[in-house]
Amino acid sequence: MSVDEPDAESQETPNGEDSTPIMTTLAPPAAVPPEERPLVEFDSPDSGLPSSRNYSVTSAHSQILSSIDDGQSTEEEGRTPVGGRQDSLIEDRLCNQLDKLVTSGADSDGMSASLSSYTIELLDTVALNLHRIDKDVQRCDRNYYYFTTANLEKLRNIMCSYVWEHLEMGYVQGMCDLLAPLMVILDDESLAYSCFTQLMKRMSQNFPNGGAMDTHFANMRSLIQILDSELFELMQQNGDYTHFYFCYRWFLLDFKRELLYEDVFAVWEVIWVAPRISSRHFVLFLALALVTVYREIIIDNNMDFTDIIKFFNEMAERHDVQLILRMARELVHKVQSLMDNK
Amino acid sequence: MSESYDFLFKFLVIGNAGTGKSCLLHQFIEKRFKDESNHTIGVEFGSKIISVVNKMVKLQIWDTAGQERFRSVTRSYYRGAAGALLVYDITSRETYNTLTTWLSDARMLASQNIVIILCGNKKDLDADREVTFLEASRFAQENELMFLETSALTGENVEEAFVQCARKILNKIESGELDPERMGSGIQYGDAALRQLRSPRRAQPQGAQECGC
Repeated sequence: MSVDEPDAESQETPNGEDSTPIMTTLAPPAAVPPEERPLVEFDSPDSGLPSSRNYSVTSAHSQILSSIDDGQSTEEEGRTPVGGRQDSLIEDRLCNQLDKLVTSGADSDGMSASLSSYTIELLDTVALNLHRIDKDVQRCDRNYYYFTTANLEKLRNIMCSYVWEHLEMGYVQGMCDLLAPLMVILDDESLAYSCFTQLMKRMSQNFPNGGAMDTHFANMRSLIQILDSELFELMQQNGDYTHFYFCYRWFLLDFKRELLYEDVFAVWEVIWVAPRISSRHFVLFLALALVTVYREIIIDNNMDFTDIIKFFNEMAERHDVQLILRMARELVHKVQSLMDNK
Repeated sequence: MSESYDFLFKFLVIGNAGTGKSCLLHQFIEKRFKDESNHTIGVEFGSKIISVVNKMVKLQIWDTAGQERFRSVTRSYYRGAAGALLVYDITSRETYNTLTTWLSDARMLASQNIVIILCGNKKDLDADREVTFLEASRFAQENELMFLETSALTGENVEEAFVQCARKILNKIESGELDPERMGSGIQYGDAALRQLRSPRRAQPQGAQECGC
């Protein structure tokens, strides 16, 4: 398996991570067909505005340009000499990073359109992304034994490579959470990169503007309404939180922040294999199981939106994962039999 | 649920990624610096009961994700907030430059009367400062914000930020400028207040308002 291979059409993956619960095409986030979106009239977390940049590296431009020009590009002739404040450390890092990325990209991917021309805009985007990645990698699961400085550096390399290949999406918070468990279990930069790329084909749709999050919420709504009308009514009566925003983090990260590392491995394996033996929507049933396991507590305490968000935040990393997995399987059967009886 | 307090205020902590929002919250609640904190996804919570002008006030604090891309997500938690800490990092001009966007979001989505305190965090990193105290205090003045420079690391001004914000809200309630019973005020009566204030309260705000004028 070559790491530098672009993953455009490949469906063969080490993890069976080819199946997406909602859709399998590698559509750019904004291009989700409108009919795939449920009708959501409330102020949905997924109906975000396009992000705009607020980080600039003007002082680093000329340096980067010259470094790239030397090796690769002939199109940036109009560049101006270095002016303004020097931040040589950042510049050096940026140049190194870009050089690295350019070299590895050029080895395998001749189509990379960005190779021939580095516009100021592109460089700005890259710098902004690197800046964000650096901020988050530094604080990624640092209480977990695996993430030593050396391994965090690997995490950073992978994230930079991925974001370079997906600049239109850019780095989004949460990506580190998805990469970290892969890194821990594979302990290999190139393998982890490949698996992460595959995983992101499904997961990127959950990120803002990806469209899948609203579908998850709508599905949760329908399923709870059918399976647990008592709970559904309580949710409606206590300020109506049947928008299910309290499940946001669950879906965004495949429950990674809800579980301890060893449980993440167990749950992710089930999520990955489920499309072949159980359901393509297994994450949905896991979410449903999480709610169902605590339904008595939710009802007895007459929880409103704030209570339930707080409750699940406090319960993070304290769930009985085997119970939840069992419950999720039972719920799949329950829904299947409901559908068969119709 | 059985704790006794007079009021409950919903608070937000907002501002760019990496400015120390979660660390401020943690320092306020636990009185220590959280050095292993991860970036926030969605929303996290803290609550604490503080004593302000002879009233017990429970602050229910919603700590939000900072990355711009998640703004549409965090906005859905703004509704009905009575107060907010608007946080920037004094060592990062970038985080200061986006304050107006956060401000208009908060005023538009939380409530028009939301009381906001601007916090220039990471005060301990004075050597790397990119935003001066004077500049930020001018900005605060122009935008009718309270202002403090804070350090989640040392704890300097952290409690003060929350307390000052709460005090201003209490003042506004007492002057009648804020009506806790209005929908989405971000203020609820606690058990103690319900017991003591239920009957006289009806007449009180009117009188207080007149005194204020």
